[in-house]
Amino acid sequence: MKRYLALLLALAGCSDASPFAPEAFTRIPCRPPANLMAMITGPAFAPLEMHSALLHAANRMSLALGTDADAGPLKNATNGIAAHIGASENDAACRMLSISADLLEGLPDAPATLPDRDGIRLIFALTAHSLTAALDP
Amino acid sequence: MSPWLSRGAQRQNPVFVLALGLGVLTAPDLAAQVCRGGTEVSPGWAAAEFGRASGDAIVMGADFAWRFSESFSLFGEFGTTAYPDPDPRRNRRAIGGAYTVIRSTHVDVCLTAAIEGERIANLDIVRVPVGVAVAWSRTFADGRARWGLQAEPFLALTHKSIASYTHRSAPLSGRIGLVIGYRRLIGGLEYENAFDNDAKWNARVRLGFAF
Repeated sequence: MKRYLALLLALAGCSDASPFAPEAFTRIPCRPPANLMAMITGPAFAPLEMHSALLHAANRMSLALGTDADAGPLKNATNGIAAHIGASENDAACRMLSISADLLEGLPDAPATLPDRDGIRLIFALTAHSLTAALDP
Repeated sequence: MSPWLSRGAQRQNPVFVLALGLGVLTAPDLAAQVCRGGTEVSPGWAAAEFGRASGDAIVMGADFAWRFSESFSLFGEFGTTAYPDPDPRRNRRAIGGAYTVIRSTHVDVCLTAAIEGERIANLDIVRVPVGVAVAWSRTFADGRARWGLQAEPFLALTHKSIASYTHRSAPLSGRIGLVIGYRRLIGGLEYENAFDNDAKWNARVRLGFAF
């Protein structure tokens, strides 16, 4: 009996073992990360208007982040936001945004990459503001 | 219809035939039903459900159960959770089994396991809830009706994925319920909660029949 109890506790301990933000994987409709939403006030862009900026963040700006282990997944996840926004799948785009923001925060705080990381963060914040307006009209 | 009743008698005494027919409709053993199985008289049941969930959502669905043997039952559920526009719907389907480990006059204890699939926009969720259901019931109205209570703590082994990103967890969750039965009609209330940072609850009213 004690063995089964230990097994149950071990399984329960696996909760939230992922390095990614659990918010992206919740069972309710997605809301963008609060820290990104707090960065922008005023009127929001339509989600589709963020498409080009997200592609720029996923390609040109991500290249400057070098070969860090998280830079590749960040590029893929940011491309994912652009793809979902392009298909008007705002809930899926919001979940990819949560994952991308978490990957961006996990990058090393190197001075050489700071301008590009800040630029990507600003694009994420504008996207979060835009998705919030679209998901909560 | 009873094979020992002659056709002549059936014609002459329709009230007796009707009484025989109604006699089959005994109140099902709800203790067994809430362990997701039927009884010797009615080994299966099906029900529709309607309720509310966190996120200002409406839940609609249906479930069924069928007992294959004295101890083993199969059950299935499907349903949808609808959020206010423009949020996406959650569509859920599940199939599972229950094994009765204790059966007495008033109390049943079952081990339950299922596999559930759920999709929310592009988010895919697969859950394997493994739990213990404890059900208690009593009869009233001369045995024609019953009421019962149920509790089912379970561990929900969960795998969620979107694009190439995944998240695994095993939150402890639980259900409690009230079941009322009159003859073959069954009804009840159920409340489910997941005790993790994805804390979700839903409360449902169920109405169905045993067969």
